[in-house]
Amino acid sequence: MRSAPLAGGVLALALLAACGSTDPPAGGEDGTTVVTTSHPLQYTAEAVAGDRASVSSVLAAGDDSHNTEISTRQVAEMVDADVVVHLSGLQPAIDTALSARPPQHLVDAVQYADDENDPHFWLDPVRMASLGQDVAAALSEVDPEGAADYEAGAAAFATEMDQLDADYATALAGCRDAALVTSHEAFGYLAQRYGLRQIGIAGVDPEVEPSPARVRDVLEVARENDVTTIFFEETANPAVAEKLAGDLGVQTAVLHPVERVEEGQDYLSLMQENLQALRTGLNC
Amino acid sequence: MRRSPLLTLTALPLSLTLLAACGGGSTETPAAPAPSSSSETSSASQATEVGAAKTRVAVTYDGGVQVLDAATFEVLADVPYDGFARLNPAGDGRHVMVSATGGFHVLDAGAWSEPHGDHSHYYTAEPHDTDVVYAAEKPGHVVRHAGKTTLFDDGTGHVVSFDSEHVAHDAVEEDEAREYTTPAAHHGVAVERSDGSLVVTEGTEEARTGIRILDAQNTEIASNDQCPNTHGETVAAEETVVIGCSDGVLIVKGTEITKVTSPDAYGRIGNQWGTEESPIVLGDYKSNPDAEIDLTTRVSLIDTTNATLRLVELPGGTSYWYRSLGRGENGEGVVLGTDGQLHLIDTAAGTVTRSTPVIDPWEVQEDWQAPQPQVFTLDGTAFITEPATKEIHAVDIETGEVYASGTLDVTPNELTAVPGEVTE
Repeated sequence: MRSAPLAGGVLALALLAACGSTDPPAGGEDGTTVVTTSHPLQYTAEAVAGDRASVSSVLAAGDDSHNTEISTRQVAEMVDADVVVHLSGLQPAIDTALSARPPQHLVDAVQYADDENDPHFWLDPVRMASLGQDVAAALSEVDPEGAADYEAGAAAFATEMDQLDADYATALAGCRDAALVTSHEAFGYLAQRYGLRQIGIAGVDPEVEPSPARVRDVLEVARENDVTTIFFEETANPAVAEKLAGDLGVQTAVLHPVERVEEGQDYLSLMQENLQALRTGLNC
Repeated sequence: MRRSPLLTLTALPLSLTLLAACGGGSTETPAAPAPSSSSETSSASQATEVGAAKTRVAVTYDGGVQVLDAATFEVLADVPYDGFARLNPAGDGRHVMVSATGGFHVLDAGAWSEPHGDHSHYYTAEPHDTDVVYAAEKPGHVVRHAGKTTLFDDGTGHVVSFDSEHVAHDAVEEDEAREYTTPAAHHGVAVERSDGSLVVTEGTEEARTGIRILDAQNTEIASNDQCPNTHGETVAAEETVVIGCSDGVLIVKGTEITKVTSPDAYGRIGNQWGTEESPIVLGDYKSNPDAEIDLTTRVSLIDTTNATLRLVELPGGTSYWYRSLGRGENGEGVVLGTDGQLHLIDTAAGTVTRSTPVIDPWEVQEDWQAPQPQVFTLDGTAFITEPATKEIHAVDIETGEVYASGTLDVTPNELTAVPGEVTE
């Protein structure tokens, strides 16, 4: 089920006059610009904008979405952009910059992160599809002549997300109530969508051998919840994996929060990798 | 690689309090502890996100403090301090209190957590002295309890208590600290309880006699003067405070103070180790008032539920000193004996259940400031220093496994550790 975009999701901040720009209002031809503040938002905006608008990100390739650094140049890029797609609450420095110098049109994805303790709404493809509609609406406002293109882009994006959702739903159909034990509790929306139970473990860094006491804690969680795999957000160092394997044979696997994307990866590829990891790792 | 630098400004907001220096206190009007200052721009300018909280170990040596990674014992920073330095966790999971010349110095061990909804993110940076100093003539006990850190200046009897999370932005200067001065200066200790009451020792430089309980306005609401040579405190389950005497202990519950007498006329309990999960407190025990070095072979267990005290004989006549005791995650007592073994005590049964060789046999020194093996327990691990070999070991308390060892380039003396995250 796709939730309808909420009214007010697109904050059209009509501050064009205040910008003092001598350029005509953006929206015509191919000059429309979109700045995004994390990879999932960039992925969405690119899908919706197609060739009609130029989409960039304030994050360099490989940067973490939690990265709070933002340069004067990046602030300027956001101010100059026709549309900014952002998730407020994730990056306080960017929130501050946007508040001080509001962009012309801001799509704030915060409505999709309705659990205030968890910003990672993008791990639910259904929420992503809705965001695509919001981006299309904002772009159509800026560039009315491109409205049909943006609508088509959003529809294609929704189809892609629907397919991803269907893949997850099918693959995980028998996993209702299965425990998803993770070192980073970023998968709440995903767990909610597909009926999994997310259980967080703290105190284990996949790169550093944990103390015996912490290993016991993790294995206790595994035993109590009848799980065979602990999910980390990066590949566990072999020594760590060996420790955790312990007597129970608990495996480690990677579940990517898609906060940071390396060369050759994108939202869809990582979500597909995640699905594969869940199919293999969940005890269902 | 998930290793993103954060701006110091956002990651280290508490380290940027750079206030003007004040002079030290006098015995007549103890000065409020105040920070010294510098134009430090922080060597820890970059924070790195890491996958889990990083425990940091700190050891003193003649000249300063080394901060170590607890997993590898790699030296992360070497910070000079004047005078004999003593170490205590500051109470916020991140900072270490270095009691040295001038007062209680706040050392950032460089590992902390920041809440992110229902989980936390963990960061590290280079350990460094924060330049915040809580001034004291003779910086003494540092007590952490119920989110409060309470400092006692033996030179003035001045007590300062504040929210542990504010330790690094100088709670006194920010007017966020509670202050109190005992009627006479003495080697004392104070603990602030969750209801705002303060349990504080009473005495003079010549004689310590007991405790008083003050309400949140520092008005006395109870007292007991039946505790000769009052020394040391700990908090057990249900916020029960245990204070040591040379003939037993005082057990403090609310305003009720119960004296428990040692089996010997002189049966000194001067140091206690409690946990908030266990009603039973582990204490040292000395029964020879005339010995230069009392090579005691017994430890005490104080059951706060029924106000009883019993002694446990260590195996093979091994002795220990007051820095070689601790507690495990499950309430176990641990004692590093002079036989070099870590003895595990079932505190409920009152028996030694296992003895594991960790270091070479050693002797208790007459000079308590001389480097001797020390134990600090944290999260199920006993960190143990071995000055004779400059080694440090990590022992899994539950199994006795020595799971990590390292060799330092200095002779370790005082020892402490912080978990790199807020645990209270």
